[in-house]
Amino acid sequence: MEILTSFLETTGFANLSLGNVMMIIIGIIFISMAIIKHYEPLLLLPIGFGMIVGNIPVIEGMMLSVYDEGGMIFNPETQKIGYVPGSVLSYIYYGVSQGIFPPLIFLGIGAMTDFSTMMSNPKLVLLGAAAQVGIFLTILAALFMGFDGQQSAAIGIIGGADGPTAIFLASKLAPKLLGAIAIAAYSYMALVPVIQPPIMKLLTTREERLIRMPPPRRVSKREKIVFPIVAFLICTLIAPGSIVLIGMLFFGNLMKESLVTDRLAATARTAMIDIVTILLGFAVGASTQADTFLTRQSVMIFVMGALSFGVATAGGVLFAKAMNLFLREKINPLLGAAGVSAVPDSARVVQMVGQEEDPHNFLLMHAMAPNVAGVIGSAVAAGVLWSIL
Amino acid sequence: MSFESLILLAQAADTTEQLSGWANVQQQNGVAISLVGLSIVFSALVLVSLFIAVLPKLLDLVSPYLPQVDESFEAPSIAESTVDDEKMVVAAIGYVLHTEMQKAMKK
Repeated sequence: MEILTSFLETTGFANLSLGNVMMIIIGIIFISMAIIKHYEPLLLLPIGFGMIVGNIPVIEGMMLSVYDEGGMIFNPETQKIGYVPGSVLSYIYYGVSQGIFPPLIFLGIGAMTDFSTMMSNPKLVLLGAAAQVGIFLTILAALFMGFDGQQSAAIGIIGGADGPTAIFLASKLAPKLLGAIAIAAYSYMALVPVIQPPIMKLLTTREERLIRMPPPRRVSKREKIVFPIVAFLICTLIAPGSIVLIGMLFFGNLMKESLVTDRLAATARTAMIDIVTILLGFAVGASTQADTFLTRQSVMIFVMGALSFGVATAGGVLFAKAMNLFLREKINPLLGAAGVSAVPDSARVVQMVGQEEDPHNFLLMHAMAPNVAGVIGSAVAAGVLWSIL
Repeated sequence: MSFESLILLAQAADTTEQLSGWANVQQQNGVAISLVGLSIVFSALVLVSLFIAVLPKLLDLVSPYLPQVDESFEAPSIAESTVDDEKMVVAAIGYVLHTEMQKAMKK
């Protein structure tokens, strides 16, 4: 009977807190959003299930949670110092906490990205820069709310709408906020089709939304090969902190465009990125244990993440409108919203909003230009913030 | 350093952590960080944009000295290599074979 009682005391039912229950419900909501609404299912499903896993109360002394890291521990019985291995989840989480997974995801993104639409219309690159205003204004907002400089930078990068970049910077500058920042970044990325359209419609007139873009010029193979090398040099010589992310992005793209490493590029953009996404999503989800996640800071991070996303979208659209004051050949200001680097969701949103006004206006290909420029911009921004903070 | 001064230092550090509002923005150089950061991101992307704009002309200049490139040889698109497409191709080939065999049997 005593054994049964002591066993019952170790069960999850006995130790489940209200916070755990809330997090498990949030996990189920994430999974439902992925399955029913198809909102970023590749991310929300692993994160959602990870949340459920991470919120099952663990037995004290057993290495089960993502935070149960191994190390040298003194054993008072044997009077010896011995190595105790960490939990299996802690080893998976190591890829998140040390910023290993994000560059690998960037390698895959590089191997699947076609920069030719961006190269055919260089001025659209500027929209990718303009949308980064969301990052820097949110840093000010976070500082105003009382976060320190490093935490504010990690929160601000949510506005880049780039999950891997947000995780990378948070792991370097604010590891304690990593879980909340990662969940906020991926949640808002999933909600791009909900957040962006009202802002885009509010800031543009019907006439502006009807503007058609000229067909892109054909980009030569030689241009596509030279671009990743020189663009890497430009970005990293200006912001060396972005070497890891930008390096992997352009390395992946060079593998794709060179045509001599097809097998490597195919692996990077399929099997490798899928494996890393599974591990990253699951580990991030499992790190959201109620006692560390359900805090006032997390709520503030979510509020500022939404602000950051909205400002980034508005920044891109308004900058496109400002460019139109000087351009003879006007650009559709909706393209500015694709400057946030949620690839390809924000480009799809631009296409969707554009086609609401004119079903024969095809903006998707053009929107990919600021979209991929936004990826470069947010990675450079992360590098800059890492360097100066 | 006396114990009292250590306490004073600790209290000062505590006060620093609790700062919020505009005072915190100023103390952490928030405005400068934001302006400098945004300027650097813009500079990088403006340079990338300028480079892309001049790249065709640069390549035209140096193309006589570079080896010939077979422009018609393009990389297969991502969609072409997906499993779903392979299944569809196999299904199409199977359908054609089945139709041809049925025709042959009728003859």
